[in-house]
Amino acid sequence: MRRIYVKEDVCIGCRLCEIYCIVQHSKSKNIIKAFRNEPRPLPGVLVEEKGPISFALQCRHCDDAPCVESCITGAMQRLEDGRIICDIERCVGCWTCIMVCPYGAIRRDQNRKVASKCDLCIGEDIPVCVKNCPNEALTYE
Amino acid sequence: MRQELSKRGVDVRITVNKMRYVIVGNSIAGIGGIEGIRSIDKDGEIILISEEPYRVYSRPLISYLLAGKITDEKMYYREEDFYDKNGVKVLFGEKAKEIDPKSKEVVTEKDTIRYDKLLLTVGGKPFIPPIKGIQKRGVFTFAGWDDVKAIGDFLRENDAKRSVIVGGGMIGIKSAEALKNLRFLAYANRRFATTLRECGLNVTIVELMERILPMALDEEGGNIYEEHLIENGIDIITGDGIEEILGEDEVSGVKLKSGKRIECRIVIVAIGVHPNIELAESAGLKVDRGIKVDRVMQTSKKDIYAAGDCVESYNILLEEEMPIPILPLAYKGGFTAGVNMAGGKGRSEYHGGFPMNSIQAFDLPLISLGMVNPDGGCEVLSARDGKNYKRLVLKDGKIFGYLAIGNIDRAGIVAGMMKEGMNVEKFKEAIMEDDFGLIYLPKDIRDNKLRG
Repeated sequence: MRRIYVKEDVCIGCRLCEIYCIVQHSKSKNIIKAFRNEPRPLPGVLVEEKGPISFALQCRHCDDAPCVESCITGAMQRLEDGRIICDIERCVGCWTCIMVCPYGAIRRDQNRKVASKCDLCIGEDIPVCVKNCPNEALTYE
Repeated sequence: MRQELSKRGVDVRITVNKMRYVIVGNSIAGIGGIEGIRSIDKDGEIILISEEPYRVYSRPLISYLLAGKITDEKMYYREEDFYDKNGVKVLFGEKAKEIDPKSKEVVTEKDTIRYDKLLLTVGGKPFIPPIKGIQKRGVFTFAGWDDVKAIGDFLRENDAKRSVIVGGGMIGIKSAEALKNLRFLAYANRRFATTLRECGLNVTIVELMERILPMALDEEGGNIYEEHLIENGIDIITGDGIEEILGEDEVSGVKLKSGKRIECRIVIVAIGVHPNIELAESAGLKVDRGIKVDRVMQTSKKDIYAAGDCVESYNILLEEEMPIPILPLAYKGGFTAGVNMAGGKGRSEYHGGFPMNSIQAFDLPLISLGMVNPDGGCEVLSARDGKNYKRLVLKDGKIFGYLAIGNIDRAGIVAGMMKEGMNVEKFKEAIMEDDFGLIYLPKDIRDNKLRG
């Protein structure tokens, strides 16, 4: 299964990956509407930055996924193609997945009280964060 | 017996080389078992004996259901077609009475069912202390769907305004929040809508230890969380126990060991859960506080496996076996058992774990990992900012316990390091930072994670 990897030395910390992720997962998929009018989803990519170092982190879609094993509702699940998604209709925001993800790649969407994470952009050949990274710090392999 | 089973739709054709797996218990570990078996063996016959009449549901969700935060439909842990898709025949409403390891049979009230491989996922049962008056109407446990129904029915029929929760653990706190929030039922849950007042109950938690969540919290964490619950209208009494439940046939109040009396119509007993070991014990399986299993989840008898709240797990921090009744270990243990029952090799060993809990009441999240109250010989770092609190317990440079209240984000990174037994001596202070993340880890460890 293909995963997103980051080259830390190449990441410039511009956070465009977050912007593209938000737009992609918004209702309209239009940047102006997504940022101005609609409830704004959390980005599934998380940029960490400290001093000169920065990198983007997404769900690793682990083969042996603690989030799926630990989910109390069954919302966190593996699709047939291997990717792991959170069904927000079933998620109750108990944060057990936050407790067990060894990468810290799952976020709390505090408005909707559900877990938020990378779904590798369902319906896209290449996730939008990878496609739009200006310095090619993200790869999908 | 074969005819009887056949009538009820169980496939009893004799086929060569087709395994028959029997699972006793229809909860998380049992489902892990089914998914583990099916990851290896697509054809074997699986018979599931389910005492409760429901398809698999999530027990931790019962407090959400009682509070009206979710509907019945959201209680289910797997899709409606889960059993069909996985070729599982479920015997609902049947209880396994006996196991005969010699003839490899499970005896229920109605049948005797032969097995090739047996998985016991019989869970735990609420501990009910021998308190005078405990049998009175108005006393409930809070462990399963039927408890929610019973409490709901009682509240519909009785004008209860006050409640007492016995025990300030996870279940006690979640049931307290649910009862306090009952006002939401007026519009959130049709079933209760016409009958309940638009007001939650008065709730008093009585905890025998000196603080609520005595295992998961330290003293300061306990103070923060208790203050938070009090702010949200919960009364808390610690260091005191129930002497007697008062009333004629129905509960009218409780008398505490200190002599104090609290008026109430409803008492929820939430002291804890004990592994169900009777069935295993009567079958001659090795049992201590829970059913003994090895690293492939096999019990002391060949071809009988066990997983979930009924077993003892290896606590990797304390290096001893003990019941660790948490959902992640139940699933993992069940899956591991299933893989091994089906003869699989991958993911086939279970290395134990440690107690971990994520809980939130009235929107204040809390994550507790491992041993936050060590006996001694440990280094402790802590930091507090209002309700935000972190506590890190280190033993020989490794993380022995971790507690986060409020800002719980990235706690999983800590859990991962604990599981790996990583030495964090060089960057321990960083773990206490508000924005702790992978970026604080030494480059080699971080690179490893980012490539993971």
